[in-house]
This record gives sequence, structure tokens and C-alpha cells, in this order.
Amino acid sequence: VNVPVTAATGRQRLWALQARLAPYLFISPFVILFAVFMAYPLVRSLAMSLYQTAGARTRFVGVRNYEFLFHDRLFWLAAFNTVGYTIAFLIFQIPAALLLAMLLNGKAVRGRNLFRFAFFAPSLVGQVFVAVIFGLMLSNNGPINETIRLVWPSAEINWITDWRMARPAVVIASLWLSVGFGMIYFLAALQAVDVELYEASNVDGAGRWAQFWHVTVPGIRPVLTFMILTGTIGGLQLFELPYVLFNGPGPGGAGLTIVAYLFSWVEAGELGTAAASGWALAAAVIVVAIVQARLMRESKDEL
Amino acid sequence: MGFHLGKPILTMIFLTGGALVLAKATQQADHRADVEVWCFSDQHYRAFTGSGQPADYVSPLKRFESETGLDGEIKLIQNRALNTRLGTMFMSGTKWPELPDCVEIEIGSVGRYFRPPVDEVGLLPLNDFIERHGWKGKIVEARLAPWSKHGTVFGIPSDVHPVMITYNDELFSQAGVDLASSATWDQFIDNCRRYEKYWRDHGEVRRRAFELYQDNATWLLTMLLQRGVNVIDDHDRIYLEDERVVDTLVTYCRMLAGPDSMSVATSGGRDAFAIDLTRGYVGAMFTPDWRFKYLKDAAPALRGKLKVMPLPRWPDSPYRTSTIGGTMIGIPRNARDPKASWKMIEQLYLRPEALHEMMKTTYVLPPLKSVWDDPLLKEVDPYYGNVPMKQLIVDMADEVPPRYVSPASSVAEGELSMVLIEALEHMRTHGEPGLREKCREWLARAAASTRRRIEHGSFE
Repeated sequence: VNVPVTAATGRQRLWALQARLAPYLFISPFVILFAVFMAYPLVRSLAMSLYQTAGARTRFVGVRNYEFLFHDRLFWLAAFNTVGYTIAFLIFQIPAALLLAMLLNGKAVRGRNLFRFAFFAPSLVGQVFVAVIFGLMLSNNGPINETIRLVWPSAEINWITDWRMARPAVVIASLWLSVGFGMIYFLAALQAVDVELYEASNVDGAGRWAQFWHVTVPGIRPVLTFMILTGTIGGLQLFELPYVLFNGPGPGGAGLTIVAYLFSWVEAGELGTAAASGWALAAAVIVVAIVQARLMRESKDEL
Repeated sequence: MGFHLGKPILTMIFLTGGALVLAKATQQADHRADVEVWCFSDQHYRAFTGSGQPADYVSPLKRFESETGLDGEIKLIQNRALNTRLGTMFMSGTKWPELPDCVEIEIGSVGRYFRPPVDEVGLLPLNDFIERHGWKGKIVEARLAPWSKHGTVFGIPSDVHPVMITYNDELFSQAGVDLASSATWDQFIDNCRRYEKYWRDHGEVRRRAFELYQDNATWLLTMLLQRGVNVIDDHDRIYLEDERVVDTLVTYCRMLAGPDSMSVATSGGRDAFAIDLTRGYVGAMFTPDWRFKYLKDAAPALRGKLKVMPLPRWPDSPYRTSTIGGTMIGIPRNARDPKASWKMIEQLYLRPEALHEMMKTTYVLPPLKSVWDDPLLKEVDPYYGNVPMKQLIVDMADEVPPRYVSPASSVAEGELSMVLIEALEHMRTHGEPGLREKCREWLARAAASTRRRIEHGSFE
């Protein structure tokens, strides 16, 4: 009489056990991958930033790598360039993307889909490809200079090798790459703005400028915030475009960004200073993101 | 809500696990050659393996295999990837079979491997091999310098890379200028100015005399080396503040900026400089031996129009040439059988038969003096005006000054590039007055910055 009862209890226990374990089993692939490829490298790189390396040899140096960074001229040059590029991207990229989106949002434009694809297409190819293309286009005897020479025959504009032109070259190439990407987001946001709000503002006698500030901007604010945040983080992490365009740090270090600075330490085999550079960048990104989020929240509250 | 695995999920787990076990059980061990060589140069790869060569060509790899009974393999790996892998292996103490038995390293990358103390460098010292196998004195001594640290040799050089000047004789002759008569740099600059004036007067404003870089110190370093100055040596001693560096920098600025400049900054790159030379935008350019082949391939229209001259002299230096670039082959310290690796190195880099084949297709001169009397080198070259071009390279090769490489070389060179840009800017905006003093100031700052970096990362 007791046997079936015992068997039933055993099966119930098994079911209870697997019901308890199943959630852990389901999330275990993510947890394992996250631990191995995210958490461990993060902790390891933080520890590594307190060491110096040469070949197989390491030595503990405490915070000396960080001290070195803050006294290194090249680190500050890289920081200056990175911040400069980020500001330039935000100043030019966001208004240009918004302008394009507003133009292509108008029903009067013919072949809108073609233009949308044409502007968006560069963002599909990536920074390395854009750097190679612009390296050719901006070379001494490249198509851009030859076009300029049609009106100014003795022009010698060294976009790639003159430190004064190198930074504008990066900004131009980057704009070509990213304006279309921003445009697509803004286009989606513009289409979501309630048309009745425009109609109401028309009734109230608002001009185009007033409509833009008081209807369009509040309507696209979430996307605008997203674009500013991702644009800032993207700018702070800039690397491939100037690195490939100049095949190194560029004239006078004009293409040296924080990530390129970090990479130069990796190439030199000094992983400790490279890790410290990475953490300095991470700290900067976190601070910028927090400040930006706070500013956005404050301006939203004011509205 | 309760969770349970259920039969389908249990079945999937068992199937996946079973498949993994089966795959592991049936996995065949990768075949690993007895001697594996990593190289980054496509040209070397083809010469070593015989790929794309005539049927009767006996490759050094085949010769190695038939003479030793071992099997070898040459792996072509992109330069940056090769250095990333090798650097990581040295850091982690990787051993055979992952580690190659021989590896080629380019001069711009070798400095990083010299960061640890000499007895901990990831490469094996080769001094004993060189002496025991009778190669001492046969290899150009100056070319062992870049691959050595404190006298310990870690690589066998593949080249000498003497630098000369190639010029468009047709254009210079039309301008009535005999550029080859320039014995000193001052005369060279004067001749180039005369050339530019002639073409300017004839409406050709874009016809500039000489190619120099304005964004990096590559050619400035070449000129310094010709003057016997390494901006840093293999003991990390810094010479950026040497008065010869100041003087050469001022001369360079005079050549490239200001109202009397006679040089132009080209875009660089293999095709760009050939296009500039073909179109006559540049009349003359520094030409290391490897550039002769590039020119021949990329500028066929200049056949018979180009001539070559040694570098003009500096008043305080005997050298009429310099050197730029280079490649070595070495043996990782943890290689399984260094003796077998050395036999492979001898086949690839030191056997006259292999070098003869290499010299057939390139202008790159090997650093082994015994092959410099190869009849091949005396043949006239129709592209370069029917002169024995390769013999001219040989004539310069013995004069090549030693170039040292240290982990801080790239730092010092980068700092010099920054100073160059500041100096050129000063020349453009203020002219030459005050330039020399400014250069001293900037170079002192560059030396201090380089010193800080050396002290920061030193393991000596």
C-alpha cells in the first residue's frame, strides 16, 4: 500500500526540483557568457590598470599608470581631440540630420524614398570604408582638390597631411557617414508628431520658427535626447575613422583620440597603461552620460 | 507558475551534449609542420614557397625539406595580425605547437619586443648561431643593429635598404640643371630652386623639385641617419637635442616651407608618389631600394627618363646614403627545436640560391656581402636609363649607417614629427628668424617627453 505513495512522492520531488532549477538553467547561457566575456574582462582590466607589463613580466605599480596619464601631453592632446570631435559632431551632425529629415518629411519632395536611401546608405558601410574612400578623395591630386583647382589652379590643400586641414577632414568624413543615420531616426520621430498640434498652432497664428520650437522640438525630444547621447558616446569612442584616414595619429596628432591613444599602448605591449586609459575613458563617458541625462530631465521639467 | 524542463527540452539538451561529445571524439589533430614560419610579406611568401614561380624553380622551402628530412610550412599573415598574435603569445608564455618556429618582423614593429630585459625578450639570441655557423663578418654589421639589444642579436636582416635620390632627368635637363652634380645638400637645394624658377617662369607653377613629407618625420629621420644621428639608440639614450638634429630640422624647413622652398608634400602612398612623378608635379624623390620596383610598376611612362644619384653630403658626415625600413627573421625563445629553425633561416635568408632568386624580381639587396658580386646585379636596366641600377645600390650598400631600434623609437619619432610640424608652421608664419632657437626649445620638450615615457615603462 505504501509503495505507490513513495513513488508519487519521489516524482513530485523530481518535478519540484526541476521547477526550482529550470529558471536558473534557462538564464545560465546568458549569465555564463556575461560573466566570461563581460564581467571578468572588466574586473581583470581594472586590476591590470594597476600593473605594468613587458612581455610575460608584470609588476604592481598601484595608481602610477593613472598618474602618468594625467601628466602625459599626448593623453591631453587625445582628450582635446576627442572632446573637439564630439562637440563638432553634435554641432553639425544633429542639425544637419534634422534638417534633412524635415526636408524629406515634406510631401512636396519627389523621389523621397530614393533620397532617404541615398542619405542613409553611407551609414551602412562603416568607418573603415569611409576612411579609405575619403583618403582617396581628399588626397593631393584627388577629385576634391582637382575640383577646387578648376577655380584656383595653384591650390595646394593637403587635407590629410596638413594639421590645419586634418581635423576638418575627419569631421567632413564623419558627417557623410552619420548624417543619414540620424536622419532616419528624426524622420520617424517627425512622422509621430501629432498633426493636430501644427493645425492648432496655425490657428493660433504661430510662424514656422515658433512651430519648430514649440511643436516639433518637444515632439521629437526623446529621439533628440537619444541622438545627443549616442552621438556623444560615439564621439568619445571615435577611433577607426581618423586612424585609417591618417594611417596613424595624423599630422601633429590631429587624429589621436583617446581610443587611439589606448591602442598605441596596446601596440607597445604596455597593457597596464592601456587599461588605465580605457578606464579613464569609461569614467568620462559615465560622467558625460549622467550630466546629459540630468540636463535633459531639467529642460524637460521646464517645459 | 511552475517551471519544468519537459521532454522536448531534455531531448534537446541530450542531443546537443551528444553532438559535442561526438564532435570532440572524432576531431582530428591539426597537422603541424616540423618548422612553421610566419611571414607578412607577400613577395617573401612567393619566393619562399615558389608560389607563382616557373616550374623549374626550386623553392627554399623545398630545399629545406629535402636537405633536412623535416617538413616546413610558410604562413602568410597580415603584418598587424602577426604582431598582435606574436605579442600576445610572448606575454602569455605560449609554447609549441601554437608558437611559430621562425617569424619575420618588420622594423616598425620590432621595438615592442625589446621592452623586457635582454634575457626575457621573447625572441632567441642568435649570436651563437651566427658565430658557430660562420656568418659573423659576412652580414653587413650595420644591418644587425636594428635587430639587436645591448649587443644581443635577435634577428637576421633580409635587406640593406640604402637610400638614393631618383629624379626626372628629362625635366631637369630642360631646365638646364644637372642635379647629379650636387655634391652637398646646399648645392642640391640651390639646383632645385633653379629648376623650380625655370618652370615657374614657363607657367608650370605646380612643377616642384623635390618630395618631402610635412606630416611626419620619415625623411627627416632618413637625413639624420645619413648624418650619423639615431634620435634614440638601443640603450634608450636620446639624441633629440643634438645640434645636428636642430641643423637638419632647420634645413628641412627651408626646403619645404617659406618663400624659397623647393619641395612639396605629396599625399604619400605607393601610387600617389608615382602619379606625382609621372605628371611632373615632383621632379625628384628619396628612393630606398624597395621604391625602385614600385616606381617601375606604377610609373611605366617614365621608362628611360629617370636617373639616380647618391644623397648629397652633409659637411660633418662621410655617408652618401641612408637607410629606411627593414625586415628580420628570428626564432621565438620557446620554439621547440631552435636548431631546425636556424636551418630554415639559413635556407630562406642566407643561401645564395635563394637570394639570387629574390634579387631577380626585386631591387632589394640582401645584407650578405658574398652575393653582391652576382652577375645579375651588373645587368643594365632599361627602365633606369640603361645603367646597372642594382650595381649602384651595391655601391651604396656598404656605406649604410647603423640604425638602432628601441621600444621608445616610435615615441621619439612621433615627438620629432610633432616638432617638425611646429617648425614648419613657424617657417610659414615668421620665416627663418628665431627658428633655430625655437627648434632647440621644442626638441628639448620632445626629449623630456620621450624620457618620461621611457622611465614610465622601463623594466631594465
